[in-house]
Amino acid sequence: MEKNNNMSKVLGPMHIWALGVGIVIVGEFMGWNFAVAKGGSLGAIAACWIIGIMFICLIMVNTEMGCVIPEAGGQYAMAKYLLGPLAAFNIGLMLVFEYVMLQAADALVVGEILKTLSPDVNALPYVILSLLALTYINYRGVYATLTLNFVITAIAFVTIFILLFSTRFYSETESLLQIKELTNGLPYGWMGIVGALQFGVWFYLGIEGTALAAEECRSTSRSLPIGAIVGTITLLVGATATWFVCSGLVEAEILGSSVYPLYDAARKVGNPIVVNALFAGTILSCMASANGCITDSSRAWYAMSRDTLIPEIFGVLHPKYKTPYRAILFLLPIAIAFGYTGMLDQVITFSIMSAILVYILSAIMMIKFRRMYPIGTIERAYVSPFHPLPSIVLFILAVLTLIGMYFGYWVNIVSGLTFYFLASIWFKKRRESYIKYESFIGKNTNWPRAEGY
Amino acid sequence: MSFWSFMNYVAWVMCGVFAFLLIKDFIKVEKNRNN
Repeated sequence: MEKNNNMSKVLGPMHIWALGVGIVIVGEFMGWNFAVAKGGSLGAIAACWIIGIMFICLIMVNTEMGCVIPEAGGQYAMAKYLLGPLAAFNIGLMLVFEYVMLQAADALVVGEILKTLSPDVNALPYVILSLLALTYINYRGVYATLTLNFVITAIAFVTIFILLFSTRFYSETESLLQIKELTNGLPYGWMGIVGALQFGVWFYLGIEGTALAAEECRSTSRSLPIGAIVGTITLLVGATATWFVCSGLVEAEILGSSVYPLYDAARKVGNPIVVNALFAGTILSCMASANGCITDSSRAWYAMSRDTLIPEIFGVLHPKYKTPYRAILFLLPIAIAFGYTGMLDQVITFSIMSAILVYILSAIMMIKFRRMYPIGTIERAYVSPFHPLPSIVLFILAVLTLIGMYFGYWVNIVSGLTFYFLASIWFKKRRESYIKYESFIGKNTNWPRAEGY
Repeated sequence: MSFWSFMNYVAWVMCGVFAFLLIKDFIKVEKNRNN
């Protein structure tokens, strides 16, 4: 097995921004609006900002650890140094499923949107074509992949502001927005906000994927903090603008059950240029998300294989393109299989649940990281302020979101947890004995000895 | 045959093209690796 080949170090802050925001941007075009049905208009914006705080904490935590551990796999790589093989295996698996399922869901949505063009459109070839084309781009190199992601993410993001400015919101007399008339406040009280949290996650889910490309950055200590923090700010602005424009154009009862809320809002404006822009924006956001998901899931799978937590066959890079080509190709049929089922809500629920579990474990990892390596014992390119407050807030909000999900999707949550439990049993019984510790932990032998260990 | 019915076939052909390109390169790389 070849071990001496390294991934290309070609990515800058722009690519990290494109990876993080690209995965998430689809959540601004759909999904978040179910928070309006659960918690009302005010519940939705409250959930948007509360979950925004959770993701700011997550990015602070991830960026500090990611800069110190610049390896492919992001949170998985952190877990292997901080929590051990079993937790690392679970986090790696959660990351893979989070992104593979999200990728399948994105492709499903592309098919569904195209079906609105004509009853003759058959969604399946477009679902498979989206996945194959994006896999091909990923196979050919990470630089081109994320440069493309930057372009399509930026276009999709700009379409939200095209819609916003087309409403002339800045003019009191000409504004098309009717926030007071169309919103419905907090119909279910404070409990409605807890119920809305799980859909507020849609505005940001996947931004933590920035850490998965840490190994491919030209300068991880520069690219990762800039890309991740600017990405989070971008999403906070985009999320607020999305809520504002949709709530001002679409009645809360309709908005709460809309499939494409931004597109429906554009249709209320009535300008064909805006409607077409939002149609293109919706498709591009799905493509950007699927593209980023292929990048992240393959890095997590590759890193697990390289570290011998799963069979080593996937831990190989393409000799020319320096991409984890076997991992990319292996995950393609899995994504197609999930896409083929057509069960969009089930696929997305499993993805979100996996992500929330990673967030909970990230909070635990950060607390352990600071205990093992207090400030001053190891070089940090970024120091998360107010520790341990971000970790505590992250932990509490992630658990609260999981509880909110449990009320609506308890079967999915129990099934998902059972899956990870069974996978853990397999790992302990069958796989753990095959781990080669010189591959698993050998990279950072120059670290100082951890305090208390 | 409507435009979109035709485009469905075009999409299937494109799927075949991308699958071919991926498999072709994969086989080439694996052969070189074994040699």
